[in-house]
Amino acid sequence: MEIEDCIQPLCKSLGITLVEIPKATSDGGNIIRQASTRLQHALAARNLALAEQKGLDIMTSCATSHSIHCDTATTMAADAVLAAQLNNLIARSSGIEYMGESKSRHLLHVLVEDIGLDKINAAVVNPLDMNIAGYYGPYMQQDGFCSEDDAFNPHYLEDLITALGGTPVEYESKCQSVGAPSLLTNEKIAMKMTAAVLSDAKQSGAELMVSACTISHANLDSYQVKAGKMTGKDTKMPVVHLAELVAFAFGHFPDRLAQLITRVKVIGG
Amino acid sequence: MSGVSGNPQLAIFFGSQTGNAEELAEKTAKMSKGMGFVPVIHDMDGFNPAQFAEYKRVLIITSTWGEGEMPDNAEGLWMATNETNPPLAGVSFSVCAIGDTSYDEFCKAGIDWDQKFAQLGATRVHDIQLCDVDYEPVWKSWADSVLPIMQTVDGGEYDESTAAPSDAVVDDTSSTTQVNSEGASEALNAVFGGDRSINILFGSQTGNAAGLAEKTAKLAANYGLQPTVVDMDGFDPAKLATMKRVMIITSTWGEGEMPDNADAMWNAINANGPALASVHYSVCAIGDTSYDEFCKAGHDWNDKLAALGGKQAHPIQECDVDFEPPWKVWVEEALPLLACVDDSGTLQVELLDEMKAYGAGDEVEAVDGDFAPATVVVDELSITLRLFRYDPVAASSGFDTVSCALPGHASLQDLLEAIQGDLDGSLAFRRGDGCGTPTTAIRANGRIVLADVARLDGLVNEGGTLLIEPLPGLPVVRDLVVDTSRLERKRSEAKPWMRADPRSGERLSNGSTMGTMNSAEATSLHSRFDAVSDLAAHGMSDTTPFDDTYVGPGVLTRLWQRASDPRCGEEQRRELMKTLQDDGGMWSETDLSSISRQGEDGRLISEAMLDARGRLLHEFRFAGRAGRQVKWYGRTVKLSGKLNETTLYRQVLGPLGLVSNIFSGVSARMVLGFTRTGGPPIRSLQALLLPPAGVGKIPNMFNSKVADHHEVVSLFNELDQRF
Repeated sequence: MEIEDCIQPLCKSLGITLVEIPKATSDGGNIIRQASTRLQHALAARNLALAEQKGLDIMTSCATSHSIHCDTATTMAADAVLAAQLNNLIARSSGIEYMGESKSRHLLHVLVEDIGLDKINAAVVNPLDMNIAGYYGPYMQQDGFCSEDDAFNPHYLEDLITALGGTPVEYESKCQSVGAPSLLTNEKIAMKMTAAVLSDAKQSGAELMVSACTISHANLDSYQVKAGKMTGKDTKMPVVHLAELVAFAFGHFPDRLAQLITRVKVIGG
Repeated sequence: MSGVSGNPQLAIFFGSQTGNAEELAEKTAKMSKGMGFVPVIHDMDGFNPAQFAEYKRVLIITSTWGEGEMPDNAEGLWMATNETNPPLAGVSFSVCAIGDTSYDEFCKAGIDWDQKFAQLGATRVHDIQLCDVDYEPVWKSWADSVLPIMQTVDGGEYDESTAAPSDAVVDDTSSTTQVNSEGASEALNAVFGGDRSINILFGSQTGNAAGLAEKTAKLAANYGLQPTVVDMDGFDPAKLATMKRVMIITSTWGEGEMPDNADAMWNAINANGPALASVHYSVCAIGDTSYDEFCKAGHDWNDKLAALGGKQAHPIQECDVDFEPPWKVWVEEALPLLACVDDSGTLQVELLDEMKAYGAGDEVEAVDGDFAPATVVVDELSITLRLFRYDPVAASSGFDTVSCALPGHASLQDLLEAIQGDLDGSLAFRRGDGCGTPTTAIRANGRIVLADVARLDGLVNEGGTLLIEPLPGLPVVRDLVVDTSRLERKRSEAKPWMRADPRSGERLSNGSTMGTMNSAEATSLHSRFDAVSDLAAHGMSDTTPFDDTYVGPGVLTRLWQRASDPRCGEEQRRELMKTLQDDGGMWSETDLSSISRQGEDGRLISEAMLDARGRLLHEFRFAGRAGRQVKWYGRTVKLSGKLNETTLYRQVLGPLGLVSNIFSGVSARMVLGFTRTGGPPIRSLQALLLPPAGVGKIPNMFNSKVADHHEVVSLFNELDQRF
């Protein structure tokens, strides 16, 4: 919900026009894929085809969603037979086909590559004077899915944090999974994994964590207390989404930014 | 060398496209040795036609390629011979030509050589033999005829110093073969002449000593020796007296006894031991220090050979259960020593250093010409290396920082070896053979790779940094070495091996079952599971370091492979599926993306695991939390086009799970989410009507449908009606 609130004003500040796709669906979350790979590919291909109909790329603020759409696009490009079968299906159901023109872009990559750090820096109204750890997660960090960033040693979030006036904090587990897909089915292990990432970032000096993945954000924020209790690690740290961080730095929701700063500097969680 | 007139050399040239003519050349050489010849096999490629005349006896064995053409390796020599037309008076020859009568120009290459040699003045002592596709019997007939004729040809005086160097080393069953010894001193060259045989006898109960004997034989060739591996079983010890060089590798069985295959020979030599005055020997004994009579069999042989007059060239080497390293030390000392025993049976110990250097790899390398290896030029990389170190004694870990430079094509293993050799000899890591050894799996800049094949230029970051850590998910023994025993234990507990009975399939004549699989099925089965290393797969998962009960993706994909194998018995398949479904199985992997991001192997493994999950959902009818999650995720998306998280939580966790979330503080934290985000507490009308749905971070109870939602329903109905 906070992403919904923040992404519109953030894009407005940068001159990005967001075009909604009312017919777009869930991409399957890599959960449906476990039962039927084809069904998930069909859902993602349909979303891509809908964007293609408008002559646009998809922009998503969720690393998982981005990787699912990238995976479908790559799979269809590599397998003409499957692509034809999927297109046949979505043509019958929706009257459209995906021809491979539209791509999925993550908000982070759009900001760093298309907008540019200089322009972002120039748009900053409230510099984020904090030690901030960026969390990527594993979904987006695959060769071919992370645009020009390095899959295993990414730096886009750190560059963006610097451009927003913050101090990026390096820590080892920034691409490590927090077990988000198995939060409901294997909670104990997911909590251990969540605690490991949070405590690593905190021990490395982070006061705030920014997440590029919406699904992982839920683990890192809503479940951080439970994760800390179960593991005995210090997991108390404010966690925000990328869209929130950028929107706050651009001067939107100053009250929320003030609240965040209080949490960071005073409350610590 | 009775039966051969004069110089016993017999030159055998082969022109071979697919290896058949080369094989016949070797067989001809073998036959000729028994008749007293000293055969010298020549690959036609690169041979100087002016040197033909150095031989009195020449045999040519050649195939024909294409439409009557020379095989590739003969092309150059043929052209050179036609250009230079060397006089061949004094050369006696015969040709054996291999061909195929279904071609017009049957055996043309052989016919061409036959005519050319005759034209250049050589004497044809036997007509050309033309062989069709079934060439072996015809060749044999020719060899049986021509060799006795060649025996009568006067070979002239035999002068080793002017003998043409052989381009190929002849078969190892003969002791009288010239060895390529370019670069060796005159004294060493003299040792290389004559009898170069070495006999390696093994006494082996479980195969270890036999294996070492084979390895020793392979190394013997480096010193110009002609090894023969001898099973002691059935060997007449009287033959030892005729040998110049003997190695014995034996284990000890039971309470100091001979292994079974050595028993008879031991009894025979004790009953009637030959005089071994001309024998130089050394013994390598394998044993176990937990037994009183450690290596007794080896010592018995050592003492017996000495008592019979044999000369111990190198002291006995005792090897405990980890026998490979001490064997290696022994073979590196004893072999060159025995190689210094010359044809007269004298040990030329002063040549030992030179012999060691020779055996260490003074091979002549092709540096020029068509077949010279290309020079690989890759820029050197300046690397700032952060290397994980762990000292088990001090129980401390940390990182060493090293600045170094290596060519980009060097492997990670090359880098580690350089550091170990030049900087810190205590660095511990697992070595591989350079072909992708599974146990060399390691983490480099976050990637799980096999160190013996991973290139540095594929790993080092833009800034030249490289972080090397041990494989995650397993305890670290020291530095980069991990303890794989837990993984191996899980593997053996999972019983991944084939249990094929009872199952349907073909039966052998003895009644045992034999599975059948068509080639397409076999290809599919192999290609789907072609990941290189189960150990690396284990390290790819972000879950394994956190879950001790999780078997790991490496073992699980093997179980799934076994279950997918149509030859697998039904009972085993059911057991395997149950193992995959149960705790520690497939559903323990919390996030497949951590595996799929690890390159091709990672993608292969994660796809296999997805396949397995799909099958499990089907067979176990979406049982358990994982099954409910998939079922309700799909259902809610089908219902509205969007995921309904509230429904999902309720259906997967159940009432007890939801209550536990309340008590654990999760629900409260979500409800109070607005205090952290700064957003409004009430986000939708549902918060007023159906709290806590819509309050804070709690999702809505009901989702509005996406536009044209019927299209989504249509997709679901078409592809998977289980939702």
